[in-house]
Amino acid sequence: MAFEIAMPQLGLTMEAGTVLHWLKRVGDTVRKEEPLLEIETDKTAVEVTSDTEGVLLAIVVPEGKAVPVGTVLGWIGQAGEAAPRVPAAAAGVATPRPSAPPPVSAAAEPAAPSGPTGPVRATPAARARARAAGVSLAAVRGTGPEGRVQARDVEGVRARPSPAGAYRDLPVAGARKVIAERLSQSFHGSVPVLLTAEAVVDRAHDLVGQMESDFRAKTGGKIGYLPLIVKAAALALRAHSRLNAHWMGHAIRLFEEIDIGIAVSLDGGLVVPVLRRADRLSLAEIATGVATLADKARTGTLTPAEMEGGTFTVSNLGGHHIGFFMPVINPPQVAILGVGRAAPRPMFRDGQVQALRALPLSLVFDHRAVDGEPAAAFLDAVKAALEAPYRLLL
Amino acid sequence: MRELTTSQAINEALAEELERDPRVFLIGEDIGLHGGAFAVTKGLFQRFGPKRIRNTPISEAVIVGAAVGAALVGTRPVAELMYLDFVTLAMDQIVNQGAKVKYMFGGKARVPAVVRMPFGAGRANAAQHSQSLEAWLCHVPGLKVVMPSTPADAKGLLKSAIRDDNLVLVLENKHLYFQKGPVPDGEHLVPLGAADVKRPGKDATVVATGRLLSAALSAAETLSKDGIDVEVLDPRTLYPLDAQAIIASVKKTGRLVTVHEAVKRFGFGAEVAAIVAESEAFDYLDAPIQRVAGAEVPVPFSKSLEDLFLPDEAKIVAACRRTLA
Amino acid sequence: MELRMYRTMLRIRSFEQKLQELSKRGILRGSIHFCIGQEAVAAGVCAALEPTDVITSTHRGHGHAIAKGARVGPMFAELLGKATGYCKGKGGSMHIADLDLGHLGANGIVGGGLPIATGAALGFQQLGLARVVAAFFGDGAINEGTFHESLNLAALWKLPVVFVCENNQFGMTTPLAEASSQPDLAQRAVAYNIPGVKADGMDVREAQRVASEAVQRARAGQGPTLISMETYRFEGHYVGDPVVYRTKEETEAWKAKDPIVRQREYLLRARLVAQADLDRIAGEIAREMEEGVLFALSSPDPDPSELYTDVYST
Repeated sequence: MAFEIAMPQLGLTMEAGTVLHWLKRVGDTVRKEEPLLEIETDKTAVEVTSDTEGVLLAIVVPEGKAVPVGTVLGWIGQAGEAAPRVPAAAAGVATPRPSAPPPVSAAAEPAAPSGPTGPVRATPAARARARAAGVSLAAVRGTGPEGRVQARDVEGVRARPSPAGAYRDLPVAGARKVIAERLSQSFHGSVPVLLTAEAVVDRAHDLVGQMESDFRAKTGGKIGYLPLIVKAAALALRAHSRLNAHWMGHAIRLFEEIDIGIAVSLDGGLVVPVLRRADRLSLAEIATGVATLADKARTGTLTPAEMEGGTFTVSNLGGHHIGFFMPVINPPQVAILGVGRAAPRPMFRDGQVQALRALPLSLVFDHRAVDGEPAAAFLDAVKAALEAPYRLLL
Repeated sequence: MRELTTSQAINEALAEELERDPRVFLIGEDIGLHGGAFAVTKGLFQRFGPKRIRNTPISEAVIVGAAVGAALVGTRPVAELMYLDFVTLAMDQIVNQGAKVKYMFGGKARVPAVVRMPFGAGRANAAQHSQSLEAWLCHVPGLKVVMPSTPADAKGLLKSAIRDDNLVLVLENKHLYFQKGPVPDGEHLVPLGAADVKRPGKDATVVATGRLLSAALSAAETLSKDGIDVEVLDPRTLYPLDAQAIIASVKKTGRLVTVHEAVKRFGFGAEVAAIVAESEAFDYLDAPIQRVAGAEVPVPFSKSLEDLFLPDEAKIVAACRRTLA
Repeated sequence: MELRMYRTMLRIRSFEQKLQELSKRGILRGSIHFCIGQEAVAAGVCAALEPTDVITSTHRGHGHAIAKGARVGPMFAELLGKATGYCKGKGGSMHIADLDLGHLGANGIVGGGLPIATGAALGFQQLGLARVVAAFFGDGAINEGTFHESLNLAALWKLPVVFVCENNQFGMTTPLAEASSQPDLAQRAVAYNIPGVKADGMDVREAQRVASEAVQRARAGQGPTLISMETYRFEGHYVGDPVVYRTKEETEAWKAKDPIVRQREYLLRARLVAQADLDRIAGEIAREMEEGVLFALSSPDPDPSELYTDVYST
């Protein structure tokens, strides 16, 4: 009897994976626990080992193809055995859906909500064209009744004039594809509102300077502003718990723990590993934690558990000459804090113009879940903590 | 090419087939000297005599049953029921007998009979003389159902029906009896099972039957002034339906509107919509399918209400516009 | 002819009894309606017909079919749903037909065959053929609208059809007196201005004589006759009928008039046969039934492709 190799579910929110590389060829012997193939989930590459021993009878899903969790990828059986036939639909391409953690109580969960976070309304013609063009319907603005996406809307997305001259296409697949879809859903599904504030960080700057040499001796790394910002955000979230939440559609889920995702930029895209219980970590622990996660992200060794379940995100572009910006909320979270580069500016203080260090803070919150007052209060708290950094030690 | 009324075109078809094949005869009420309730058989009694034009009592069940029996033993009867509404009185002979004898008897029997039935609302005939019941008949395996919309098609389809070896029901919209249209000279046959694109277009497909074909064509004219180019398709035979023609049209236009006098529920339009949704045309649909149909009530007597019952050009235009919203 | 009619009746009786056996073995499906006791009507009427004359039959029509010339092999096969049945297994007991034999079909609709018989007669008239139609129906059908319409039209146009009512005193479970306002069924002919004749349906010679007169009238262009054949079905309406609506006494009284027994006694009395001949005939018929059943049981089911054939003529 042949055993099926199926796309595994690694992590609660995984819905699809891409077959990266088959490590065995058809006809090869496979031992139990031997690596069979490499797959890519949302952001990481993972090795899949065999549950059984035998001969690889057939490869159903080739390299490069993305399929939903549970799809039959291949068969292992006895030498000479025929692999069962797999219906064409099973080997289909993944259609991404808005991800949400499984509901706690079934009674409260309504049917799939229609509207921006529910199934996309699109005509069959629009769907067919979107499929053919590799365009995600969630990214298309529908001009039909009730926002229905029609064929001409998909045409509009496709018809971008290509620049004359030589070019090369980077396929939208794997991590890039997932990022595009999730952020598109987030942006179009949520109601993002931007609040900005400037923190005067001269004192923080001094503190960082004082901590620098100790920290380097202890860990060998730099400390920088980020641990202060993360701690400030974490403490502010303690006091303003409405921003430490997920939008569930039918409910706003408030979390006990404060798990902050730190956006890390890589070549292939963006990953947001999560620093657990950030409010209880010391600045050093935050610094080393972030550094470790960033390293793992760059080497592609983050575990799915390390990438899941964040309740808030900090996106730091301070390494570049960036002021205020509008980061995109990481769904289903309800807010994200963007940080720009601290720079000396002339500012008014005590009736005089002084040269002060200003750190631009950009808070984007989902107005479906959080109102302006509480969001502003939260941002105020972050600013206040950064301006009086002793508060971070309390 | 001559201009004839539908009534004259049918009369010609009957006369030609009676002349051509001695096995053909007519059977029905008031079709003799009187020439038929709608003057369709005018002059035939005088020309062919009482043996070929059989004037009956008011006995719908035996009119149709006798047609079935006579067909079984080798003749080619053309029966007439005065109103499609009266088919109820002959349903056993149509549905349980005529439609099924060939199958039940393992293939040896043949029922080369035609039953012609005038139908339709709009002439203050009220609830029991105005219905469109084609859906009932199309639903029965063993029957063929045609519904011409022009004089030329009425003539050509009837001649083909008479020459067909099956029990064919010819539904004639009363309103069309007095409508004139071009009819080709000489032998003119329209094959069963072939639709006709009465107006080619590219923005929407309108499948219209009976008297509503002309309303659909008017609607297309109206819409063309707004730059909307509607394709109007006349199925002509309801069963067997030329599904391929409809599918090809919807693949071209991406939009479908069905139009019939019969009430919407469980009707011919529903069948066309389902056929399209199940076909390869599904992936070309760019708007929900629209069905324009008679109001779901018994047909009222008062003109003001009967006008509301019937679909008209305005309702067809509105439905087309909804597909282009 | 007397002997032929006897043989026919015995074949019908044996066929029905064989079916009863098969039914007890559980291999017969659907509704089967036995005509045991009514054999004289089928045998007598069909003996009055030419081979080119036609009949329409009822849901209780095995006797009509055999009397019209059907062979028991294809009949058994049809009842078992086999491909070798008269209707390729697609009709079953209530829709047995063979146009080649002039059998225009048994009918599952009570009274459903009357308009068809009228039409067949009309067709013969149109074609100028000197053929006659015998339409069988029961005392239950006589109250259907189709009876009225058919007799009226046939009488009006003097169509060559004989309407044979097999009055077995019951429409399913309802006795004649509770169903017919005019229980003297032959009298109903008055409404159509045609002859109405009552005959003893348990006497095959009387049945044949009365039918013959009516057939001659029809063939001569004098129009239809209504014959009411008084008869009785010895079994229930259908297999498994608990028969709560008749008394044993009544049934026994009619069984005493068994048409086969009566004809046998007549043949012996009139020295038209010897006992030895009768025994031989009985043996031949018994073998005929055995062979027929074997033929049917060993026949194949219809091919799945037959599901979609014969719906339309091409």
